[in-house]
Amino acid sequence: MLYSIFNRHQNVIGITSRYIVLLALCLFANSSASLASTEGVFKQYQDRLLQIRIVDKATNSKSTIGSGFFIDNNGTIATNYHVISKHVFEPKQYRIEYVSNDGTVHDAELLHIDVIHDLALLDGDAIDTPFLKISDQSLGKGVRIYTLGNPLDLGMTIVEGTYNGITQDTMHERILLSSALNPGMSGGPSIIEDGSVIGINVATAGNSIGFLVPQKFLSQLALDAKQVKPDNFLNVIRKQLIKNQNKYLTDLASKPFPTKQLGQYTVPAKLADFINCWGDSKDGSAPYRKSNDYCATKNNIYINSYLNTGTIRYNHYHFSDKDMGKFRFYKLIGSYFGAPSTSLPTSKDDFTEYDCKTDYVVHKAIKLKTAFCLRQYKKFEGLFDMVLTAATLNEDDKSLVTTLVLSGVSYENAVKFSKHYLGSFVWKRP
Amino acid sequence: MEAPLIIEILDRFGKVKDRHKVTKFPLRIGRSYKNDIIIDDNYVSPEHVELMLDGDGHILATDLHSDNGMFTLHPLVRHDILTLEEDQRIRIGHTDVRVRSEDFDVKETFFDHGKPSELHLLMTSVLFLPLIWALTAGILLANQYFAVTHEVHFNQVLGAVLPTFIVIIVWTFIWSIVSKIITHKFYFAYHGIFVGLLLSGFYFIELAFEYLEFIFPISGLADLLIIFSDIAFTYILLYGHLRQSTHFNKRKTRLSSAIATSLIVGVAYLIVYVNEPQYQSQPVYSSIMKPPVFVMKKPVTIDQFFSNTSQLAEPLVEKKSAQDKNDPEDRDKDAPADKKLDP
Repeated sequence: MLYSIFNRHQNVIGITSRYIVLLALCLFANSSASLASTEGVFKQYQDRLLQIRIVDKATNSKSTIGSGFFIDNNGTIATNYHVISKHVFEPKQYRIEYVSNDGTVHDAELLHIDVIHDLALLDGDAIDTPFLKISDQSLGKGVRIYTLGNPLDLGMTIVEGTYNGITQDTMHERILLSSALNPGMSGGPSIIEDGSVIGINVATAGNSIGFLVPQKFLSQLALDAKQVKPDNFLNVIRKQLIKNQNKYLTDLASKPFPTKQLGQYTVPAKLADFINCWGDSKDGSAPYRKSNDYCATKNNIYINSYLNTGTIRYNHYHFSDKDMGKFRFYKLIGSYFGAPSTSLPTSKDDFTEYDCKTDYVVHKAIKLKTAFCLRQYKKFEGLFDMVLTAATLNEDDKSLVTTLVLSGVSYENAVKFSKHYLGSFVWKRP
Repeated sequence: MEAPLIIEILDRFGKVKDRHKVTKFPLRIGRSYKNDIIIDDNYVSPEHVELMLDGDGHILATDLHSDNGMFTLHPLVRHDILTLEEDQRIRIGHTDVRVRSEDFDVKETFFDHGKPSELHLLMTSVLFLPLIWALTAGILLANQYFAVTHEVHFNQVLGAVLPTFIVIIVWTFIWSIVSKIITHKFYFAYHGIFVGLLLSGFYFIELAFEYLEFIFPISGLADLLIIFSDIAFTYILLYGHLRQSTHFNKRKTRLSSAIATSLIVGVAYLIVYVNEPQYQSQPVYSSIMKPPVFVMKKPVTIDQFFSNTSQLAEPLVEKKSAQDKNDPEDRDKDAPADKKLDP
């Protein structure tokens, strides 16, 4: 993700030469292809481009940089939420400023955010600003796209790439772009030849694979910003997260889960396109056989550099005993049952400790020792992280340990989804 | 009182060190070798006290201007001159002096020469010791073997058990030496059998607690019960060793074992408490697993399981609101924002 690399380099002075080389190569490769047109686009629109800076008030030095652009003539600026997230959480410590094309520095104020799609609108406190209009076209694969931004604080650049459609396998729509995105270009526009914005640069997945937030979410946010002027942005985040999890969890739980076989057990399989699954099995010198199925959402929602949310993660371990005997075998099961890998953030300021319930549950002849744990988000009331772990107690020499992790969900949805999840397990008596 | 009289010299614990039968008065008591009764106590002056017999047959004790003085006990009062009653004790330095007449009543004490109890014979039997230690070693090895969840390498199991066993042997030696010094009896077999039995018992109890927690899946149940058994076992261990190694009576042994136990267990749990992480970032619940046959609690349905999980969410909300009350500024900030967002 662009922001993950980006955050590692947020003190921009420490640019590694690797990125510079990478960037130079890309520029060269692309510019040789269609120099004239790219140059024209850059010249024509460069006055709409801005660098967004998050400045530490105490030291007056920049702490985060990103890109942005005007979307109307009243000085409204669009950028990524993750560029300005520090200001949202520490408004007393960080302020927002932007640098326009002529090098002048202005203060900006936060207008509205869309934390789900990673967008933010700022008020640039300027009039008669030149702006980029938001596209209303639908594009075909292969359309040429110009991506603008200020990578690694090197100055405004333009990168040419191609449109590759809307990705099907992220939870929230993203445009897939074949172009080099680099840290610092976050929040910059990607435009087509007529100068209209088709997406906002948001993330990269390595060599020439970039992701854009589709322009329709920006239009929607601009519309929302005209109606409400929030001043408690943490509350805005809270409401957006609650609404979002409600939507995707209700969708998923509204129909039976797709399932697969693991030993004598039927278990939930790949629940949706935006979930990735892997499998692995081990049968070496260990006195037991283990097969592992692991599924997780491909992307999550960035809240701040300590906090990601909106993940669904579940795994199944199927064990069969070779020559341990039931006592040692169940000791092994206990070690997996007692230490589920949650892969969730662990900051004391953001979360309470987990509160758990353990009991024996029976469902269609499956006997399970089940533990259900919740912890609350301290800054977002009503949102929880949930860990559900269960181990089967049907046979002396075979057991299934399953773990479901949901982050950033309401209590009601945690329970509803867990019931649906546990209810989809079946055991066939051998 | 009439001569001859018996002058008893006692140490400060009340134990008689010396007895002198005297007929000739006056007599002098002190550290100097010129005295009639010489006392080996640094806090007694060279010439400390003179005892005289008055006309009525009373004994008069006179302090010979000693540095540390002459005292009566209960209450401790300093005297320059004092008439002594029969059996009265006076203190000079760290030594007590008591005067008794020849007629002082001494009773017969019956001593039972019967056989010691079967239990005592068994506990001090040199043959029983290897048996108990073999049992202990077996339990330690089994305990280790059942904890291994990978391929079993017997040398690893043995390696894990050996340090514990060495501690048992060293511990037995230490107590044997203590009892040899204090009671002049080595009692190696007794101490070895005692610690072996107790440790075996401890492992059994611990295992029983694990099964108990598996049957009633309450988080930390076994850990909680183990705290109590820690206290009980430490107390019994110390009591048993002290009883055989010292001349303490039962009450004194109980008291000293209780004090030592509270110190040891207290310090141990203090260390555990200090090292505990302030914030537990991983879920903690009862994770003990045993084979299916030990599931004795009636399983609930999925709906029943989730029927009262709202408790897990509620206390957190209360905590949150408690925090808000502590921080009125934050609460005020939240309020108007909510109003604006929900017109």
